[in-house]
Amino acid sequence: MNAGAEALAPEGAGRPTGPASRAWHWFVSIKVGLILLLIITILSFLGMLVPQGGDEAQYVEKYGQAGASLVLALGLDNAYHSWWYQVALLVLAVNITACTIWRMPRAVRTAFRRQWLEPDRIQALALKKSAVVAASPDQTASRVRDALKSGRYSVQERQSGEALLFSATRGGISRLVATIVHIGLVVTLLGGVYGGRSGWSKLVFGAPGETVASPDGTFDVRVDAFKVLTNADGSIKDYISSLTVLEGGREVLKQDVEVNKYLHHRKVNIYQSSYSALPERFASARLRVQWPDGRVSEPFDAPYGEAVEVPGSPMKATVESFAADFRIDTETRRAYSASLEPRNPAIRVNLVEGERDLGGQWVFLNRGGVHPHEGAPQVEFLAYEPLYATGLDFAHNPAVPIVWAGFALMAVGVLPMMVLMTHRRIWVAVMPDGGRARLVAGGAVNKHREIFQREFYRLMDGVESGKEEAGRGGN
Amino acid sequence: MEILVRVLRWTSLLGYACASVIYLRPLIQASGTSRWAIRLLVATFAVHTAAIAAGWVGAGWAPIGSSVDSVYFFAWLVVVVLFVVEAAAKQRTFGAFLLPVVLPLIAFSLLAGRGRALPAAVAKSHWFEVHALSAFFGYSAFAISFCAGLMYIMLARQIRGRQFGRLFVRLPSLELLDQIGYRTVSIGFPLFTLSLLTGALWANQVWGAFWRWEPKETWALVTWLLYTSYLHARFNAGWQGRRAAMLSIAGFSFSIVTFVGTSLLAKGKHSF
Repeated sequence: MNAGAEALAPEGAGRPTGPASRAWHWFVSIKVGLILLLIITILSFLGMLVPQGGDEAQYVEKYGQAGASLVLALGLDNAYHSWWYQVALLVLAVNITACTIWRMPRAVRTAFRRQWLEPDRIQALALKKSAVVAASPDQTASRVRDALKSGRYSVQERQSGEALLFSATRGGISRLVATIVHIGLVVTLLGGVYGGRSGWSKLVFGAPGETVASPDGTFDVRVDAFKVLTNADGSIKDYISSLTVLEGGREVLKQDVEVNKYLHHRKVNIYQSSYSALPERFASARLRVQWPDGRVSEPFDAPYGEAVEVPGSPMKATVESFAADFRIDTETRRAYSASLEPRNPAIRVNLVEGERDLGGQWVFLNRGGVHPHEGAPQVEFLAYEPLYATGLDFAHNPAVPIVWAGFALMAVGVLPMMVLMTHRRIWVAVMPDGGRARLVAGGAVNKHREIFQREFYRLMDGVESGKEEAGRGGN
Repeated sequence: MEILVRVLRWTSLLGYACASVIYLRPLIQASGTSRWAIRLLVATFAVHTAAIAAGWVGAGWAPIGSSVDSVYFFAWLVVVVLFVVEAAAKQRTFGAFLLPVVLPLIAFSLLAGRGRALPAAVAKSHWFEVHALSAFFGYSAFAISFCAGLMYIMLARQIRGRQFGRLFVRLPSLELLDQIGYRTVSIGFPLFTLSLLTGALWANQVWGAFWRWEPKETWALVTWLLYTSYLHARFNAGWQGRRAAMLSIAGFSFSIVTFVGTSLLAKGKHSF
């Protein structure tokens, strides 16, 4: 119970009468809010128990056929996008909105409207003090004024019969903390729903030199270069894509995109999201040639598709094809890469000596060739430098400003909590008592009562200045 | 530098282990908290600080970029908060409950190898710095509320059973424990909220999405919902004492899973 709460009864909080009114009061109650929070906590927890986004086979393996059917039927495989989770979030959002609308007028009134209490009502507060001060009423009033101002209170005073009343308040804005946080939360949820429905995102891969289209078709992007920067210990430092935005074939923007630095064009953001080694091209291969008589060339580098001289011979070698995961199509006899992974890298190298074509051969990385020609020089495939395609995430989210606004409101709302900001109110009545003054003071705070209590007694003891104490209330 | 860091980390583990024993003694035997416990704790904390500084100088990056470093840094912050709370509450018993939480964290940072690290470019953002630091401070505050809750439950049980043993003599009053638990949640909750907000802004900057329902994000949301329930129950439904203490204990248990568990076990952008 707040200090002095019994003397400051809520205004306009009448009992509900009809069924609709009772239902409304029940819905905006803290009890329902807490139950909803608990339900969402449990539902979120459920989603963590089941692996998300798997396929049926994975669930059958993990839970058996019956268990997998249950998981899929209940939508537990995609819990956070399931209808029941969305409904729970929606009900919570409606509850928060309703609570906020219901409580806001009272919160605003309490925060900004100054209350005046007569001596008898001050005496009814839980936190109170009364004393006879050995000073004139004017001197005592002056002490009260100074004490409250030294405590950074906003002080007003008025005469009421014989009594001079003081109403001091501080931190009233903290009454709005919950309202601001709730509004922020609702705005954020609305932004999330709007962004989810109106926004889109698509991952697009592009190799250097390639041009890819924005998924909304409004412009194209040419990948001029892609670099993976590494630290001395081999760990990844950064990924950088040099991009050119094209509209109708015309260059309109050039920018490097890297992690934490995206490109913005026509309401579309382009993020550096991923990368992949190209499965059927590379930058350069390291080769060596061995002749039938046992001679071996020095290793040499052969860029993809370029004819290069074999050291110590008149021959030239050209890498014509590459497959990171080599397979042969048994019908067409065509070689291809079965996956993006370098599980079985192989190249097809063609050797030419002067005008004479010595033929091509498929050679596997560090494992020799397929059907090498007898009597012909053999190529060894020692290493290769992959060519990477950059993975760009094209995203459009019209709700970003709404989410930002929601976040800002939530941040503004929660930060005062950190400094234990409270709404402190002190009422004082100074009345003449013979040649002296009678002081009646009381205080109320919405939380952190013990801090306020210490301050209240410090200020009022200062007013009394160690004179005869008539009594101390509260605890 | 790497060897120096390891030596300092092992020394801090040893120091905290000894300090834990000395701190726990008054709760088991009839003796007060020895001055040596405080001296040892301060000396160990200095070693802990030196280990973090040496790691920072060696890596050239704040010690929060990998799972191992961040856990070691978190343990350091918990000790900082312990000093603050013990000084503010004029109590020397919190160490007995908090140091046993610090020990496994430091042991983990020594035994878990190098840990997974975020690519430097991903962490190169002010949002990330605010996100990580506010989360660490928030978790540290929750650690204190957890201890206060634990002490509350133990003391309340003794009082209910009319067994006025050493805990009754050594521990702060139930009212003070309840207040400490509440105040630390009042400080930790805004920090944790700030961490969620800046984390979402950072994620949007790096990956183009505020929220991806990854395991760590979902656990963080559940933790946040728990503490939200705590504050609502306290402000509006008058939940204090035992029920509030139970929620504090549950909240910190979820925090530890959010912070350490999901970084190690789950796959996602936070799995580093």
